[in-house]
Amino acid sequence: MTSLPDRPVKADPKLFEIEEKLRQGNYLKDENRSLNRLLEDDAALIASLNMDMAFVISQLDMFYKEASEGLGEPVLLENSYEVSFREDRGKIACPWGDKFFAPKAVVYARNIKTGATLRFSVLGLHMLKRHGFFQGQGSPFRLEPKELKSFFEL
Amino acid sequence: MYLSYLLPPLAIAGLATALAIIILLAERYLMDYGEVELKVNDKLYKVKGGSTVLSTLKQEKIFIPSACGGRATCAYCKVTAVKGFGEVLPTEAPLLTKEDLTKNVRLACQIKVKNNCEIRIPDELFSIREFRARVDSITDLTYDIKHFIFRLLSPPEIEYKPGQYIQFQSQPYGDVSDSVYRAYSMCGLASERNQVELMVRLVPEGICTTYMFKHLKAGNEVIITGPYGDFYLRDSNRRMVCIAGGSGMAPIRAILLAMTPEEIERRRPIFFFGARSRKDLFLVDEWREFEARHPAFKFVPALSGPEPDDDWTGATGRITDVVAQFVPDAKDCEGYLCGSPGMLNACVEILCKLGVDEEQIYYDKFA
Amino acid sequence: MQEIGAFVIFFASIFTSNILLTNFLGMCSYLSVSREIKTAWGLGIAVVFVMTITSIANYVVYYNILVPLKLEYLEYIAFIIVIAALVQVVEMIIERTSDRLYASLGIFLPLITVNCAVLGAALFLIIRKYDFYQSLAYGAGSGIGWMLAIMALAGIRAKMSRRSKVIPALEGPGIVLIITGIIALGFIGFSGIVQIN
Repeated sequence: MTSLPDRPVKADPKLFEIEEKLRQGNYLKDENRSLNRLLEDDAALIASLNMDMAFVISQLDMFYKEASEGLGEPVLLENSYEVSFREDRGKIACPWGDKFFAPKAVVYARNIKTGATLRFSVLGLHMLKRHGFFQGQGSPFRLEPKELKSFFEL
Repeated sequence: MYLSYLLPPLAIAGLATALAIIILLAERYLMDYGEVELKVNDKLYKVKGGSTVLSTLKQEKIFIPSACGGRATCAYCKVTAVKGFGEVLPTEAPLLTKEDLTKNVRLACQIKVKNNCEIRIPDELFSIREFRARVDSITDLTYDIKHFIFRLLSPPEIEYKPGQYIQFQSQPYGDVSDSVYRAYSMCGLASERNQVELMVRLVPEGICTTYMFKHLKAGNEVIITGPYGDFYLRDSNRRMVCIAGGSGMAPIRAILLAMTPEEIERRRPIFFFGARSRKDLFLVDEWREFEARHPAFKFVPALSGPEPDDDWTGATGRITDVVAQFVPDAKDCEGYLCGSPGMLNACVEILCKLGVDEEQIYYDKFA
Repeated sequence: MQEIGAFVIFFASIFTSNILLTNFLGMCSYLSVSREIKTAWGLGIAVVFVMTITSIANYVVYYNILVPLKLEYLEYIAFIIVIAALVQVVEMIIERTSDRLYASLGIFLPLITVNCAVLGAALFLIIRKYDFYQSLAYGAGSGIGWMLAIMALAGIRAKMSRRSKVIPALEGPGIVLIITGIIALGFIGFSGIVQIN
């Protein structure tokens, strides 16, 4: 399934630049794999888990929108999720260089039925949506595909 | 006889040496730009060429705001390039808006001083200094907000308008190998020039706040630069409506503490402080005391979600609703806001609805 | 090989004896940097630049140093050192002259040091016994040919990413190699015009 080799010479140099920025920004924390490999491994993992990523992303998007309107107050969504928003001052430019400036904000969500919790940063949501990047192992805001699957009971 | 064995390695060594000399010569003649003239606004500086505008200006003791330390990720170090800089570079292009491009705004950490050139920066940046300071005390205000007092070492005094902010430089720790710079508003008395006081709220996984909360100890030396910002008291006769949440109390406190009794009498400030529950409230006693000293001042703490055992009898609800309830007609008011971007937007909206001119609502743009 | 004109070699090395499509040299960066036309163009320009300069430099090193000393068998190691050093110098020249070019080529230049097409071109011009002008033409032509090939592939991949469905097993390098094969077959059509080897 993973076919591209791991060595620098063989991958898109743009990806190294991004990888370097991601490492500096702590988005790859304990990740030993190259960015190239990580992206492919996670895509393969999603395929093997048989998850509908479009659905997951639309849900996360909805959480972000509803939570941010709550200004820090928990918001109840369709009696099945409780989401809240934590925002600090400052903006973070997306390390992928696509002119996206994310607010320094974190969305917390709880599945009321199962009690499972989930948290994601707004930048993390953007990077997942636009770049298929779940962040590296050990990175504070990694969106673990298995956790997403169990949170949404897919 | 031995020559035939020695010749190949000698030939390769000779070739390598020759190429190394070529590289060194190229470095010597291509990379040395000599002394060039850099014009900043109307001042002329003679500087060594070859470095970025950001680091060249730092050598000349001019401090451009920068959060990422020159890695082209924060987009704070924007300056207007008047002449002497080429086309926009691919490294900065993602961070420049359309408006920036038409106005020739560039990132100071990317463009290099190679020949005589000219840039424009806001005049107030000239008064920014870099300070060495020592941590005097760190106290808890709430479970996630701390109060820091720094004593200035050199230069020994800072002159600023209450409401302005400084940039704090974090040091590498744990997994974090970089120094980063973050902006925090000063909350102390501006007349106490030998110290800087900050209120800082812990950001989840934040690089700088984690450093300040977990690694900084009293007695440590730190680097701060400042003052920055155009959030300060404007002179008028309008009533002041101040709204803050969390560590946003800092600049409002600096502004109110610096006002004279006559000014408070004239401006009749009302200060709304929004929090979730009692555990997010702090310095209430200090404000009650301030209220007692200045009858024209009013402090309104508001809780949006008080816990049952909070025994809360004060204002409850969203901060915007509380403001509307206490100041139903705000035509003759001025707004001073500080808080999260979402709260700022909501407050600007409600103040406009209550009759405040949007031009007379002030808040820090560093968010 | 004195009878072939420099211009013929220049033309042939672009089309009929394209270093990538007939010799399949420089494949690694060809496969991985062909996702976008813009990056392919950046790398292509860098290859043209470096290949032209190193062909001449290697020609001079070979005939003026290695041949008189009867050390022809050291050509591989000598060429690699020359290429690596020249890439450094080229990098410095670009940094001095154009920030913009430097910022866009900066990441590609180190890659080119290890691009086998650059070494391949130098070795071919020795094997084929080209003279100075023929070497210059061959170096520049091969560079342009390589750029042409990667641009063609990048264009096709850009179109395909929007319109075509590739079966999962062939996604990535698989389909790219098939496309490359078809492009190479297409280039055989040029071979009637002129032939060098």
